[in-house]
Amino acid sequence: MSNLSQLIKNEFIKLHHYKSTWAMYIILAILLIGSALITNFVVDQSMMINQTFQGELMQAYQSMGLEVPAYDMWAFVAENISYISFITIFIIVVAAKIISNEYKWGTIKLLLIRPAGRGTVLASKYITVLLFAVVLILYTIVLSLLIGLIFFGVDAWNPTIVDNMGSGYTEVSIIASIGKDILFQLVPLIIVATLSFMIAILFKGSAMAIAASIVIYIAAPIITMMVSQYEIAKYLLTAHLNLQEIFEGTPIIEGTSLGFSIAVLLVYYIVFMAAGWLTFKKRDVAGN
Amino acid sequence: MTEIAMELKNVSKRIKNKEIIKDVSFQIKQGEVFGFVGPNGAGKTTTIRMMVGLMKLTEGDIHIVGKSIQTDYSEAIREVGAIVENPEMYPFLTGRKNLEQFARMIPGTTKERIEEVVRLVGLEKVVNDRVGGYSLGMRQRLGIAQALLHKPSILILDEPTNGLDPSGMKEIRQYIRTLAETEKVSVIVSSHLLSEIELMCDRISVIKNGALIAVEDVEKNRKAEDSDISEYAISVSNAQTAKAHLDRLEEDALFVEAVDETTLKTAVKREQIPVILKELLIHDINVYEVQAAKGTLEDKFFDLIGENVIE
Ligand SMILES: Nc1ncnc2c1ncn2[C@@H]1O[C@H](COP(=O)(O)OP(=O)(O)OP(=O)(O)O)[C@@H](O)[C@H]1O
Ligand SMILES: [Mg+2]
Repeated sequence: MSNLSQLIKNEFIKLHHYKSTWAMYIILAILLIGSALITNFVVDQSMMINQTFQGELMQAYQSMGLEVPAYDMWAFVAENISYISFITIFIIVVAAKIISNEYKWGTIKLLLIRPAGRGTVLASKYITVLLFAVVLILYTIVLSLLIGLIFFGVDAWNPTIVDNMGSGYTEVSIIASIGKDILFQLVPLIIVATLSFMIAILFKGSAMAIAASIVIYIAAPIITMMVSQYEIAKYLLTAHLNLQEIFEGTPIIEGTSLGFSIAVLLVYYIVFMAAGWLTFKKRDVAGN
Repeated sequence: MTEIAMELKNVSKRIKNKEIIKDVSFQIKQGEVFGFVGPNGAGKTTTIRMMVGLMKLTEGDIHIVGKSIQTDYSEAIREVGAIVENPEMYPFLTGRKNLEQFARMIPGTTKERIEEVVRLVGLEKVVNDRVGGYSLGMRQRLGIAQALLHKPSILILDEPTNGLDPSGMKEIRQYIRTLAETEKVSVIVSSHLLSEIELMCDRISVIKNGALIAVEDVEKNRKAEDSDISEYAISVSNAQTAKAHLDRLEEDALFVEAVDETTLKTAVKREQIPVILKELLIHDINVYEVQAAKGTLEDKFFDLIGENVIE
C-alpha cells in the first residue's frame, strides 16, 4: 500500500511541473480577487442583497423572524462555490492529460514495467485526479475566506441562514449550506472527470476526452432539453448532472427524484470505471 | 553451475491473426551478455515487450529467475530493468528527478543507489539538467541508469546504440561489458547490426520474420576462425583454367571453386597459398588479388538473415 502512496506522490510531482497546473491556481485567484473587487467597488451591495432576497426566500426569512444577513465574508464564500464549475473543467483536462501524457512521452512503458501492477498505477492516477480536485476546492474556499474577510469583514462566525434543504426553506447554519452546495457540485465533477479519464484511456489521447467531457458538462441542460420529449431522456447522463435542481424539486425532466438520479449516476460511474479499468489492464502496450 | 536468468518457452504472439512471433524458445544464463539480432521488423521489440509484460503472450511462457511473467508478474518484473525501443523520460524533469520517480516505484531503492548509478553511467555533470535538453547519448545513459536502479538480475536493452555515433556506440558497448562484470547482471541486447553486437556478446541469437533461426556461441566462433583452414578469394584472369590447373595439384584438402569468370574461392591452409600462386603463375594465369574472407559472424549469418520479408 505504501507503494500506492509513493505512486500518488510521483503523480503530484509531475502534475506540479506543468505550467498549466500553476495557471489553474492563478486563474482561480484572479477570479476570486476580481469578483471581490467588482462586488466591493462596482456593484451596489445593498441592491445585490435585495435582488437575492426576494419572493419566497424573503417570505421564509420573515416568517422565521430572521434578519436578512448583510453582505459579508460568508456571502462571498457562498457565491464563489459556483467557481467549482471552473475547477470541474480544469479537472477534466487533468484527468485526460494524466493518462495521455504518458502515452505521448512513451513513459507509459516505464511505469508499467515495475512491480506495481497496472491496476495500482491506474488507481494512483485516478486518486491523484480526485485529490487534486479537493486541493483546488480547498484552495478556493480558503482564498475566498481570506479575501472575503479582508474586503467585507464578518458579522458572525457561523450565522444561521435560510436555505432550501430539500423539503422547502429551513433554517440552517451557513457552513452546512455551503457544504451542501459543494457536495452537489462535487458529484458532477467526479462523474465528468471519470468520463474524461476513461475516454483518455480508450483513445490514449486527450483531445477527444476533453472535448466530449466539457460538452457534456456545459451543454447538459441543452442536451437534456432537446431530447426531453422522449422516454429515454430520463436515463441520459446529462439529465442528472444538476443535482441541486433535482434536490430542490425543479428537475428538467419532471418526476426525477434524487434517489433515481443517484442510481442513474451510479450506473454510469460503474460503466466508465469498468471500461477504463478493463481496457487499461488488458491492452498490449505497443507503439506509441 | 550456471543458473538460468531467463527462459522463453515456446513463445508465440499473434496480433489480428498475424503471427508475429513464432514458437520462440531460448535461455539466458546468469551473468552472460546475450545478443538478439534480426533485421527491421523481425520481432525483437515485440519479444522484448513480452519479456517485460507490456504485451500478453498468445502462447508459451517466460520465466525470469524461475518466476513466470504471466502468473508472478510482480516478483518476475522486480528482477528486470529495461529500455524498450527508446529511452523515454519525463522531459520537464531533471535527470535526478526522473531517477527519483523510478526509485519511488520500487520500494527499497535508496538515495545512495541513485548517486551510484549516476556515477556508473557517467552522468554526474548533467544530472541536474532537464532531460528535454539531453542528447540522445545522454538519454541512453539515463535509460540504462533507470534500468539499473533497483539492482535487477537481468538488464534488457532494445537497440541501445541506435542513433549513436561510433564513439558513443563504443562507449555503450564498453559499459555493457563492464556492467555484466561489476553488477553481475545478465544483459540482453537487441540490434539489427550483427557486427556491432558480436563485439560485446557471449552468445547471439538470430531472429527473422518472428522465428528464431540460430543461437551461436561467440567464443566458439572466434576459435573456429583461428583454426588452420580458412577461405580465400583469388582474382585471376581466367577462373576456369585456373581451377583446372589447381585441381591437378596434389595437395591435400584443397578445395577450389570458380565463383565467376575471374574469381576463385578456395579453402586452404595458410602455407598452401604460395603453392597455389606458384602453380597459377607457372601456367601464365595472372593473379590480381588474394583476399582472406573475414569469417565473422556477419558472413556466417548473412545467408541466414538475408532480407527480412515483410509479410
Ligand atoms: N501492435 C502491432 N500490431 C500489428 N503488428 C505489429 C504490432 N507491433 C508489431 N507488429 C509487427 O510485428 C513485426 C515485428 O515488429 P518489431 O517491432 O518487434 O520488430 P523489430 O525486430 O523490433 O524491428 P526494428 O529493428 O525495426 O525495431 C513487424 O512486422 C510489425 O509490423
Ligand atoms: Mg525494435
